[in-house]
Amino acid sequence: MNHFPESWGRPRDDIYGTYNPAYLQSTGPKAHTQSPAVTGTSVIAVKFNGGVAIAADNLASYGSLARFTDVKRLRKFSDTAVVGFSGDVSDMQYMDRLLESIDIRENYSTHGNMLNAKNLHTYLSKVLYKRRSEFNPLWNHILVVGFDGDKKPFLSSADLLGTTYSAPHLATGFGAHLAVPILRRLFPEDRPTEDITKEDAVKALRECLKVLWYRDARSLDKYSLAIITEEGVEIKEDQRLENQSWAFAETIRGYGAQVV
Amino acid sequence: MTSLVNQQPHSEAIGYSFSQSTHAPNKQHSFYPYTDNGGSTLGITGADFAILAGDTRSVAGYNINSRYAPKVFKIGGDDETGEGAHILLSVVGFAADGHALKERLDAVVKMYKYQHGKPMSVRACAQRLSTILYQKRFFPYYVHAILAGLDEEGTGALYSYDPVGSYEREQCRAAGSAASLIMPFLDNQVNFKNQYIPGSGEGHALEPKKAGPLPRSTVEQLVRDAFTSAVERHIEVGDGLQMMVITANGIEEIYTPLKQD
Amino acid sequence: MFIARSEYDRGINTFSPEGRLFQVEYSLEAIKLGSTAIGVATSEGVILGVEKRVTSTLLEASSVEKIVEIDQHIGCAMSGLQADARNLVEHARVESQNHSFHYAEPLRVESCTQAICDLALRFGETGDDEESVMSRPFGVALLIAGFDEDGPQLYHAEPSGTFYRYDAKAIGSGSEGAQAELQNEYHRSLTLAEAETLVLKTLKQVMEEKLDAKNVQLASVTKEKGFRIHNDEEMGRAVAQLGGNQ
Repeated sequence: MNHFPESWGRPRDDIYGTYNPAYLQSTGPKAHTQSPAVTGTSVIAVKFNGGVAIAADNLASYGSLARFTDVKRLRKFSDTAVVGFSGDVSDMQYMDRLLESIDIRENYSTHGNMLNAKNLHTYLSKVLYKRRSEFNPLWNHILVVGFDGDKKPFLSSADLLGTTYSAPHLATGFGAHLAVPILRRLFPEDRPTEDITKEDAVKALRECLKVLWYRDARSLDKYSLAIITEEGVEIKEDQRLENQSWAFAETIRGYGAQVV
Repeated sequence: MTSLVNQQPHSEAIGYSFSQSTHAPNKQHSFYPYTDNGGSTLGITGADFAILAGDTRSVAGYNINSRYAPKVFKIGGDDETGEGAHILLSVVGFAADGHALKERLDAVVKMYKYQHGKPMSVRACAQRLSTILYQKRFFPYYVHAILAGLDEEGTGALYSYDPVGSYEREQCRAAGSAASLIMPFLDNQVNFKNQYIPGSGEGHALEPKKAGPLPRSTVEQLVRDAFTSAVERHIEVGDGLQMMVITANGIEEIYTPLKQD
Repeated sequence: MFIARSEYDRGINTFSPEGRLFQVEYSLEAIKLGSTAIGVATSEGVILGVEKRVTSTLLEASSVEKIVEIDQHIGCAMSGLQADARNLVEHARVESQNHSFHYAEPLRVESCTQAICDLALRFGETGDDEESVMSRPFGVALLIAGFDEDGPQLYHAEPSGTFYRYDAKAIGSGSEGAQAELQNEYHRSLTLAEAETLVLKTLKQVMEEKLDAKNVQLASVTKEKGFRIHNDEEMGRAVAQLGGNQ
């Protein structure tokens, strides 16, 4: 038994070799997030006539491990906006707390919560930009959907660097590669969003999620889908991908068991 | 007694882990706070106007983020409509920094009007933008900015910047990813570089064509030509062309589509 | 009256029931003890003049500095506690330099005056470190003369933080008489030379000592030369001319 409490529970050098003091570091630079840990993959969203639809699967991965399979990555803000998060899940929870405290504060005020999705997007993008400027980023890429001040459907993105942009349809992560081309084909950008029905938009999102499930190894067939219209927010959180067809799988050549 | 109190328990024969110095080498930050959102901007001045233009594509690597993400902004006007503005700013490079820079300059110009009871001159704004950029010398706004407006005499004024605030008043300037494609074209077509008066002499006696302010219609066409050509040769340029023309009558915005490929 | 006052004149930021800040009012009294300073604005430029109060023959008159430069185009005359004026002038100089550094243009006279008045109001203020920045109001008033795109201008700034623009203004112990004189004599078509004479003449009337080239100081602000303090030769000439006129 060792008499020094400081060394209790620590590996002994004579048995385990010299301990790497880097793990004990109490001085030196403060460690900020240098890479995400538990992550969510793509978020996709489309504007339609009178609203916006957004979807994300329910998976939180730890590296290549499918760690949590029931994580809700679409967060409702009041009845006016939905934020879809990809990237680090703990940072998502932090931002969700920020949103919650704003919502509570707003609702205590006499005018009630008047913040719309556009206001929210401005706020969140400034939080993200501030954190990146402090070299302590919130490791997320988010989509904010809802309505702007003129009651027009609003869809915009913000990432961990504070970069913002908007378009009639957007996708983060893998979705930017796989879902956006599908959405651009279905709903060309020069076509007015008024021509797109809610049903078309939802159907397109489900289709995109299916493609992502086929080809994104960090995705899941369980997903959430939110539709925001004048009437309010409708979130369905336990959706399952249907009508999967893995027929294409056997045509894949070049790796795995196939040799020819 | 003293020896007991000052005893160094860590310097025992058996090396305990905590006796090691905790001076680990500094960890390298792997987070890179910049990205390149591509695109190009261009400004040309005339005798009584200035044009600032930029394509509207925003990229991330080979992805197109958006086909409409404006890079040219009105400064000192209404937040939504830009009404009342008399200065233009274009930013190309890292869009988030560009956006932050634009918002900051806009606030400065508005505060200036409240504090000094007069609209800020383009010259004053140009100097202020330089100090804003230079104040972030060691963590720069990663953008190439161009500022445009009309000077005290009413002639078109154009100022171009590097990311840390070096600036210069010029007749024309292209910035961004296709700057190296557009600028030589401008040298030739605006400043008449390598153009000579036909039959004015032989060899070195050949007289160079004198550059002077161009009419607005010519300049507008030059801008269009510059961008349609840049679209052909640069993957980050395309989707739309946003042109802002500032004259004594105010600011006019013209949008024309570009190829989306 | 005075009994009621003493209840509310300790705290510098405490209003009396009648709605007055006594310490600020007292600071205005401090100015009335100061030497007289006069400013006259014309279309050609502004003239500033002060009485120097050379209290001893052993005093080096040139060391009494009551007119100072703020920038090439702005200067000011003071009356009251001179040491307080140093703070204000220093602040104005920094503001002015800052402005030309940031905006590549000279600071406007009104903005300069505003900057001075911003500082004048910072008494009794607690900073972030819970320490009072200034314990009392400034005991000095300034006449700020300058030239900018709006032409020659004269401003009067008080310890209360208010300022007004004047065509002609007198401050200090002789201000009442001097202001009445200016009121009578001032007209818009005054030339710079006439303004100089007017300033000297007015000073002469209100000064206790006999006016000479040593116990007054003049300065001018014009478009061409900016702010200039009259040198001994110019002072001598101006005073001599006044003697001839009378």
